[in-house]
Amino acid sequence: MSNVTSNQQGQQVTISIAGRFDFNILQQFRDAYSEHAGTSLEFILDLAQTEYIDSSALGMLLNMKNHLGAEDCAIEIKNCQPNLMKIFTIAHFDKKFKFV
Amino acid sequence: MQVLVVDDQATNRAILTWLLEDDGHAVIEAENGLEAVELYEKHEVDIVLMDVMMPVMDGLEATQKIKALQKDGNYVPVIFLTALEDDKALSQCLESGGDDFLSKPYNDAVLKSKIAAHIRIRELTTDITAKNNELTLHNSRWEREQNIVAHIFNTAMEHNLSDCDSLRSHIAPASTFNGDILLSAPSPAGGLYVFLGDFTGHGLGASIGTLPIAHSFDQLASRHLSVGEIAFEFNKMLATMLPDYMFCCASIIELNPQGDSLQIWGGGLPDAYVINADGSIKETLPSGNMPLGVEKDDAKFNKGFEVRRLGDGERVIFFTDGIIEAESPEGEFFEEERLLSCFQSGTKDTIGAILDKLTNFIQDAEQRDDITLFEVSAGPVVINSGDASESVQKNYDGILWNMNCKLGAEDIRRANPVEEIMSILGAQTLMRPNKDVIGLLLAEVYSNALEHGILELSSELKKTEDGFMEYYRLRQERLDNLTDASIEMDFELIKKDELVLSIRMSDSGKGFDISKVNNSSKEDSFGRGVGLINKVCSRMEYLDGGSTIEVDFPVGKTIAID
Repeated sequence: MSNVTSNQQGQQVTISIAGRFDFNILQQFRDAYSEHAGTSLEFILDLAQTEYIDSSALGMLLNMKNHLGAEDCAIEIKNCQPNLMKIFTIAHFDKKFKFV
Repeated sequence: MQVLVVDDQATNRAILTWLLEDDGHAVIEAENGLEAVELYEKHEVDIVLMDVMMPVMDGLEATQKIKALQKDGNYVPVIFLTALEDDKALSQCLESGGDDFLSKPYNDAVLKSKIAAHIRIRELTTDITAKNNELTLHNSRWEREQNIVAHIFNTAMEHNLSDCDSLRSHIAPASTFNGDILLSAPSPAGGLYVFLGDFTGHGLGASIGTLPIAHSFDQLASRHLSVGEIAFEFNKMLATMLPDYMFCCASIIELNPQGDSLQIWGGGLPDAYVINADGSIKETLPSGNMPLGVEKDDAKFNKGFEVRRLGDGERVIFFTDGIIEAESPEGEFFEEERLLSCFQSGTKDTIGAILDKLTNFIQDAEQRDDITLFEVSAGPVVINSGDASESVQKNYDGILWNMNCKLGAEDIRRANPVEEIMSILGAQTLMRPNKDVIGLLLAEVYSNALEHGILELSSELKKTEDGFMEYYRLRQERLDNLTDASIEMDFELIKKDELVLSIRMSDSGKGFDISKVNNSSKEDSFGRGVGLINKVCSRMEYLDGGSTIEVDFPVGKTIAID
């Protein structure tokens, strides 16, 4: 089962996604960031526990970026596993998000 | 006990026989030395009572002969009964091989206790001999088994990359069997994985755990798992396999193909060091997790890992604790301080410097623990032993196959069939390096057929964020009410100029305008799927007005990541 958790520490909001990152967690994922729209918080996505992504996840990430009005590479994606990194790279997402 | 009584006087023999038989012994009598030697050869004699002066052969000569006949470990005591009293005669008795003497006339009680004492010695000797034989047997069996096990270990460790410029290592086990383990494997993307582990203890007990690790490392590497995932798999395996008091301190790293980024999972090994191009320390990397095999609860295991950028000439060195705990002849430890003094600005060959210092320090002291260290250096990963999926492709002589499956409305409603199909395709070694990409490709092709073809959802909806939500809400609603639909999939492995996995997918929908799906800008949250398909396939074609798609995926070609 997939699971989205959000954790705010000071100026940082870390959203962690466990399991599959696809349209099945659409609502959960949106809830995790939408309440912070219009703030100057930093967003970090922790994909350490993420096992799978597909193109709907890419869409969801772009939605998040647009919703928050974030600059390119303002949102950080960390602990991305190599197999997922392959997909992000194929989609050129490294131009839109900051992978650390 | 069987006693050989040797005396030329019949009366003496009779008295002794009577005395001994009364004490529960069996008695054989000999009249002179020659007869005694003959009887000794014929019978199982436990103890000999020997007169000195006898005709034909005297007691001294007979004793020499009897002692010469005694086999290793069979102690048959010879006690002289003699009327002689001078020191010279007595010492002659002992020189001939006698074990004791008693002067005539003897006291019954003294004779009996002497016999009892020598029988005890004889029993002890027999016992020790038996134990010695047993020990020798065990030793040779152990040696044989050790040879077998050593062979198995050596074969298991051969999985190592022999020739990769990015990796340098030094391994010095404290005994035949190493509790330290160093493994390396190519990553499917063209990078390098290294595993360094140190099991509690050393010797055979400690090295037993290295076997399953070595066995599955290549497999995990070929699945291109993250270092955190590999750690998770190993932890799960060791937690169930090892006794509670045993675990494995380990570091797992993956160097990307360009050699400028390193992923690190550390559990319980001493600090690792990032070294600047000039040899000085750039950063100390403490291990962030418990050793493998400790956490029994999978859910609590931390799969997270660290990432470090590596600049030109930079390298990272990892150790097991054998090095800081190495002892000098005076019993002093090598310790971190001596280790750190090797990281001097200007030192090009850090490993060489460490090993020199260590050799000088240990001198002729016994090495107590296994010592292992390795260094990965920045720069493109070149593996000279040549794994390369390219060669897999060129040399592929397996069968070419095809597979067909037709899904009805019920199958489509039930679940996503992509995973099931991937579990079949992924089982073929050929597909494994690109399993993730093939899975993604299949998922995208399938969702296009389902969402646009059968469910007739329009990508236009996804233009707004609310529309995006609406799109997936409608998707679920229409899927739930789906009654009459089918998707047919054909997979075929074709060998043309290159080896290709050809996928054809037809749906029962009316077809859709592919340009509408494809016509999205970079900022749009849709249209990613088709882009992804295009990127990884050598051919993509829509037929039948959009209701059939054909794609060719070049199997065995590593997907370039730029």
